[in-house]
This record gives sequence, C-alpha cells and structure tokens, in this order.
Amino acid sequence: MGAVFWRFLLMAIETTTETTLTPVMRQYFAAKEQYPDCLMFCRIGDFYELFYEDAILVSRVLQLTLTARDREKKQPMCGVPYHAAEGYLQKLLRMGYKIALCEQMEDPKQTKTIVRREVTRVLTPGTALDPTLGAEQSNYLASVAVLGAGSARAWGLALLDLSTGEFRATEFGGAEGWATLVDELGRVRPVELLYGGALLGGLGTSGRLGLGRENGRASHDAHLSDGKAVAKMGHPGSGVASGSGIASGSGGASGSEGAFEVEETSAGLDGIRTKTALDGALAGRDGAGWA
Amino acid sequence: MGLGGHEAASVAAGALLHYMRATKQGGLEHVDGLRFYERSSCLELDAVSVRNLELVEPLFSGESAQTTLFYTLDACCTPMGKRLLRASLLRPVSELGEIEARLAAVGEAAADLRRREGLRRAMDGVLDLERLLGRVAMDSAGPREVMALAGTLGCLPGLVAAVRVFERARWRELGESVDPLTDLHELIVRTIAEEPPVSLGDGGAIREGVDAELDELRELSRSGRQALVAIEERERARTGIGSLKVRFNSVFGYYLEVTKANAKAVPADYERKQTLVNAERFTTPELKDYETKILTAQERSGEIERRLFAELRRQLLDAAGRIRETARRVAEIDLLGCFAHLAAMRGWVRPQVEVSGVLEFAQARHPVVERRLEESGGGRFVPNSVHLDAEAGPAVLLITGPNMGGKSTYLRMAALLVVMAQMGCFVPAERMRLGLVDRIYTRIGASDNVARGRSTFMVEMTETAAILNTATARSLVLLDEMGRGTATYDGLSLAWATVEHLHDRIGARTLFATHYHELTLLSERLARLTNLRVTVKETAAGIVFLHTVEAGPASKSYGIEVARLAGLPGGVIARAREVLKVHERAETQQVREASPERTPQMQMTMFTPLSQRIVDRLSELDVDGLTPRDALNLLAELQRELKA
Repeated sequence: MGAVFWRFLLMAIETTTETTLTPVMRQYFAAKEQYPDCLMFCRIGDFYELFYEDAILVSRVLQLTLTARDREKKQPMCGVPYHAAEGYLQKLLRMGYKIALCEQMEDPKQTKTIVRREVTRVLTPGTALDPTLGAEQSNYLASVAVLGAGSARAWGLALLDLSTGEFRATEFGGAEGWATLVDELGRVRPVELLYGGALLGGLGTSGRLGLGRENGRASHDAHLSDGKAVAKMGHPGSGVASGSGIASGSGGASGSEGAFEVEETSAGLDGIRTKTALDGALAGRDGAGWA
Repeated sequence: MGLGGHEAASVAAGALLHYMRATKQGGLEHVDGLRFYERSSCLELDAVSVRNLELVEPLFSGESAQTTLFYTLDACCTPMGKRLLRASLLRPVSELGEIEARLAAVGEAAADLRRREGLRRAMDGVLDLERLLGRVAMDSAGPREVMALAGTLGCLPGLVAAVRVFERARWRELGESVDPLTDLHELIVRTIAEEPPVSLGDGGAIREGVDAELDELRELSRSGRQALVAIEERERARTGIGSLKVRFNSVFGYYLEVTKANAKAVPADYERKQTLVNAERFTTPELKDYETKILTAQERSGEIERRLFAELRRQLLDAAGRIRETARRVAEIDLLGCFAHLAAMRGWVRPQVEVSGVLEFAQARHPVVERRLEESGGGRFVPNSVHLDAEAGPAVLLITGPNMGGKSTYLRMAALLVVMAQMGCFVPAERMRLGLVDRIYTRIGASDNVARGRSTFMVEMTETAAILNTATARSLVLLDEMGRGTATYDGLSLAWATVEHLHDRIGARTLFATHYHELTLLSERLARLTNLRVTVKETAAGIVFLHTVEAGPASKSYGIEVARLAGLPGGVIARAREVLKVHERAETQQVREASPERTPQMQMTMFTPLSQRIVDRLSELDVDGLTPRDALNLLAELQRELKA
C-alpha cells in the first residue's frame, strides 16, 4: 500500500524540481499518505479535484478531460463540480473503487491563509449506500479473520448491511473450514470484503468492544506465525486486490506454488467488488482506535 | 453480545467495526446487536447449488430474473418481506417444529380469502422500515423521509389487528409480539408538518404549535411579508409606476424593481442597488429595516427547526432497537401472507413434513417453468411424480432418456420443492411427503471456467468430490450427466463408482440423470436403485418429447435425433448414423472378447443397447420350444444384425 504513495510522491518531486510543493499540494499529499488506497477527491472551491495517477485513472474510466495544475503540464489533474459529484462517485463505487473525500474544514471567507482540509469520510462499496439498490437486495460488507493453527484453526466471518443495520457473525473450523468460508461468501455475495493484517491489531482490543473475551498474547503470536500459511492457502485478495485498478502492492500468493490454490479458493468470490487488505492503511494507525 | 467463545467470529466483527471507524462512517445507531449464526442450523445449500438451482439469481448474469425461484415466489407486499424471502431461500429451515408452525399458519390464511386479503391490504402503506431507519441514523433523512416513516408506523395498528383475527399459534405469537410503535408515530406526527418540504433548510418542516418561539418568529416573518406587499402597493400609488415590484434574491436581499422605461419616475429617496439590461433595482431605509427583521426571523426559526428535528431524530434512534424488532416481525407476517396467497392463487398443497428418509410427490410441477409457460402461453407443464426412500428404497433413481426430454427439469423440480417445503411454503403438486433434508447437493450442467484455467471436467470432479466427502443419509443429491466431460470410458467408470458409493456407503436420496445406458444395468446389483426414463414417441416425422417420467431404462439416447432437430446438416446426420453403427459393432466385439474370468461388473460396463437387445432376445427365448432349424435361423439372424 505504501508503495503507491511513494510512487505518487516521487512523481510529484520529479515534476516540481525547481519549485517546492504549493500549500494545497502539501495538504493533498498529507491526505493521500493517510489513505493511499483511495481515490482522493480533494475539494477546491466548487470542485472535487484529483491529481496524478488518480486523475489519469478517473479521467479514463469516467471520460473526463484530463488537464494539468501547472504550466509545464506535469501535474495531471481532473475534477468534477461538487454539486454534481454524487453520480460520479456512485459510478466509481460500482466499479469497486474506494474514495476518500477531502473537504475544506473552514469557510474560505473567514480565513486569510489557506483553508484547512481533512478527509471527512471514506466511501467504499460496502459503506456508501447505492440509491439504486433494489428493495430485496442486501449490501453486505464482510470481514474475515483467522485464528489458531493446524486443527485448531478457526475462520471468523462477520457481515454488516449498513442499509438495514443487519449485523451477524459466524465461524468455521476443522479441515473444511476454509472451503466452507469461501462457500458461505459465495452464497452471501458481499460487495466488499475485509481481510488480513489489521486483524492482528484487532486481536488485543476486541474485548474492549464487548464482542468476546480478551484475546491473549498467545493467540496473537500464533496468528502472526500463521501469516505465511494463510497467504499460501490463497487468502482471497492477497493477489487480486488490484482488480479494482489500485495496485495492492502487498504481493501475496503470486508464487507458483500458491497460485493454483488462489484460483481454487476464490472461485465463489466473483461478485465482490472491493477487497480490502486491512494491514496497510488501517492497522498502522491502530494505536488509539477502538475505545 | 452473544459471541461468547467464538473468538474468530468476534475478531472478524471487531475488525469490521474498526474499519467503520477508520473510514469515518458516522451514525451507526441503527446497526443491530451482533448475532451469532450457525450455517448448519438450516437446510444447507452450497454456493454451487444456489447458483445451479437459480434460487435468487439467474444462472447467467444479465439474463432476466424471471428464471429464479425468488421471482416466482415473490408476492410480498413490503421490502422487508422481500428481503426475508430472499434470505429464507438461502437458508431454508431444518427444524421440523418451525416448519410445521409456518405451514399451519400458511394453511389457515390460504383457506380464508377475506382475512388473507385483509392482512395483505393492511400492509399496503408499509414502506421500508429498516432502510428509513438507516437513513435517519446516517442523517440522510429529510423531513419527508421522517414523515414517510410515520406513515408506515401508522399502518402498524391496523396490521396487528389483521394478524390477530387468525388463530394459529404462529399468528398469535406474531400478533402479540409486534410493537405497533404508536408512541413514535404520534411523536413524529406531532412534530413534523403534514406536508413537509424536501429539505430541512427550506423551512416549514416543524408543525405549528410545537414551539412557541418558532410560531412567533413565523408570525413575524409572515407579517413582515404582508408589510412588504403593503409597501409595494403604497409605492405603486406614490410613484405612479404600475409595474413596480418588491422582490427578493439571495445576493441583494429585498429590492424594488422598476423597468428602464419608468426609471425617470423614481423618487429621490430611492437608493440604487443594481442595474440590469431592462430594469433598475432600488432599496429604501424602510425596506432595509424589514429585510433585517424578516431575515433574522428566518435565520432564527431555521435554527429552531434544526434543533427540534435533531431532537426528534435522537428520540427515534433511541427507539432503533424497537423499530428493528418490529420490522423483523412485519417481514415474517408478510412472508407467511405471501406463501398463503401463492397457495390459494396457484392451488398449491401443504407438504407433509416428517423425520424420515422419504421424498415423495405426486403430479408435481416445476414452479418456475410452469409459471413461465403460463405467462408465455406456451402450454401446460407436464406433471411428474417421484418416490424416494433412503431406508426402504429406492434411494437412488437413475434417469435415462434423450436430451430435451426433461431430465434436468425433473431433477431441479425435486430440489426446488424440497427448498420450498422447508421454507414453510406450500408446493405445486397433488401431494408431497418429505423426510427432512439436511443438505442439498447439486452437480448440474457444465460451468466451464476457462478464464480461471479450470476445465469443465475439473470443475465437475471438484464438485463431485465435495458431495461424496460430505453428504449424509439425510441429504438430497442431484447429479446431472456426471462424467460426460472426459473420455467415454473414464466418465462411465467414474459415474458407475459414484453411484455405487452413494448407494452403498452414503445412502443419500439421489437423483442421477445420465446418458450412460450401461449404468441402467446397476439396478440388477443395487437393491435400492430404480431405473426411470423420460418418454419419447417415435413418429414418421421424428421424435416427440412427452416430458413424462416412467419406470424402466431408456432404450436409446436419440442423440442423433435431437441433433437433427437442432438443424445439423443432413450429410452430417447420415454420416453420424454410419459411425454409430461401426462403434456399436466394435463394442460387441469387445463384449465377445471379454473373458469369463473378468468380473461381471467389468463386462457390464461394456454392454450397449445393441448387444443388450441380442442378450434380451436370447434370454427371452424358450429353448425347449425351439426346433433345431429355428435355432439355426435365429443364429443366422442375430449374426446378420451384428454385421448390419
């Protein structure tokens, strides 16, 4: 995940060798560093603007005109008017992209210097409600966790439909655990799937949420040492998160040994629009979290 | 929150909540308390079966949803009911008591048109309670949505009354447990104006009499506006300009507008504000004064409206749990009403559900195909019967016959009827008896996945492996043309061994459709296996499909006949017939070479319809009544037939 950001920054540094970054671009990069896997919609006046690779990608998939912010045309940019943004956002979400909205936090009339900008909300297929969602359809956001090793390994699955508030969880164990989990996902057909790393952080803290008992350090470590085995088993998304066009950079099961198994196990996961590895962006800032 | 001991589940749920926080999702008050669910606490359907049986989505994306069981069963009145129907299709019940309770309730409502219609009409105005609540929680609900919520809440007392006229236990439970939420309804109606504006910012969302200060401010701005009208009239009289207007816009506030032609008649105390192409705009100290008064009043009343609306929202969200609980009950009521409606309108019958190994139905119809035939005026669905008994036999039905004959439809029908019965729905049949099924397995049709680099055969074997590894004596297994994806003898051998395993080891109720006629010989060895065939009539013009299923093995496959119907060139058809003959002869050769010490099982796999016919003739022969000359003639005849 971080790799994407650094590529961005490198691109920016190359293009602005003679000048330093403008204040707006500094804000932009600060936001982008926080949410590297999101398309950054940066509110500037009456527009949401996108820069660099985001701009190139969005201008292509939404048929927008690609312009540039600087005279040398080395900072690609495109934008949509804020009052008409809804349609564009929905379109991108339906394609499986994640979007961060970076808003102006102060009234430009009230301040003499540059207005403060902050990411106020991240939109993902599982969290932003699609107004065209059919009455009978559900909009599940799913999350997968694995605990233990060997025969004691258990796969946890949680499902949340924000449109109705339905929230449930289950778990599978034993030799068939993984296969059953994949089958269950194929049956439930979530639009977004969370998996992997941040679950490490979640282990020590889930007790505070009253979700279950406090998990000890032992299982935390067990999970850590388990990490590789999981990747080899073909954790969905470890190699395919780039399907959305945002490179995952998290490597995963690309080795020849693991590849077949990924094919095997992701069989039921066609319908999922976004697969989010939780390790990068979220786990890093887990410190305070939760409470 | 009820997840005690389920560590992995709670970690997954925790991560999910953490994600909500990290992506700054506000307003999660409507989210339900976390519930733990067991996949195995219902009739299990794996993802493959859900897809193959087209329970909720058509097999090929992009196709019309009319091929799904969901579409056929969806007579629900509310969005909650529709969602529950969809969820129930994916998780039919596996517990006898629950099924019986539902069937009893459905039966009562199905038999009573007046009360049933009363019930369904009571749900007319019920909108999507859960999603409206969701919008309130996420603060995307305006005054109109809140009023819509009130409209739905207003229907609840009527619905409760309509439920209470029924007597069955399930209806009584529902009638007693639905919270009609009258307090919330009153609260909203008391607070929000009857016809509120779309957006809170437009003003006028809060009803008169709710807040004294608000009413006062509104009165103030109303009288202010009247004063403006008075000013307009007075100024027209004073200046003699008939077209003089007092207007408002958001940039300049209130102004007096005078057309260019009349600009000369403007008195000196007017202050110029703006010049347009054909008009001049002015203001006066008096106008400014009113403007301040009106705008301040509006601003202040806007603040009050926002505060009152936020208070209302908070109160509604405090009751989120009650609203959700009610929504759940309404969904159940709706679903039972929907099943009753279908049973009555379509003449479906109540299945007899029990704990046994029986699956039996008479004159059953495929609900989806039947409905599609009706809608397209394509004629009547030909009903069929099934008798399976895992304990007493037959546990395995082996169905042979031509393509297009209705084998797959027969298989699917059996599975759909089981799903429907275990949801508590009546079924399209004359009668049905069902021993509870714990899991339905399907291996139907070819789902090739070239993109993923998996061949048809690989997919097929993976699915078959899953069945053989996990099916139980309580399962229902459907296998359609298993083994056809590979070389003939490999496929035949695999199919053969699979049937034996299902019959001997697992004992699951199994429907096995195949083109391998050799398999029909298994009925001699396997006591609980019965042969069925789909019937065709051979006429001069070709074959006619009768779509009925009857006892006995099919005599031949009619593959070439079907190909001819499909329009293969005449030359190809003729040549295919020649090749077929050569192959049948070659097989006979192999049968002859099959030495006696080979196991009988191996010989049987080599039999084909042609050799079978000769064997049949020999076995039917009355040797004692045969003259030596007849015997020689018969031998010559048989030889001719083989060489032909």
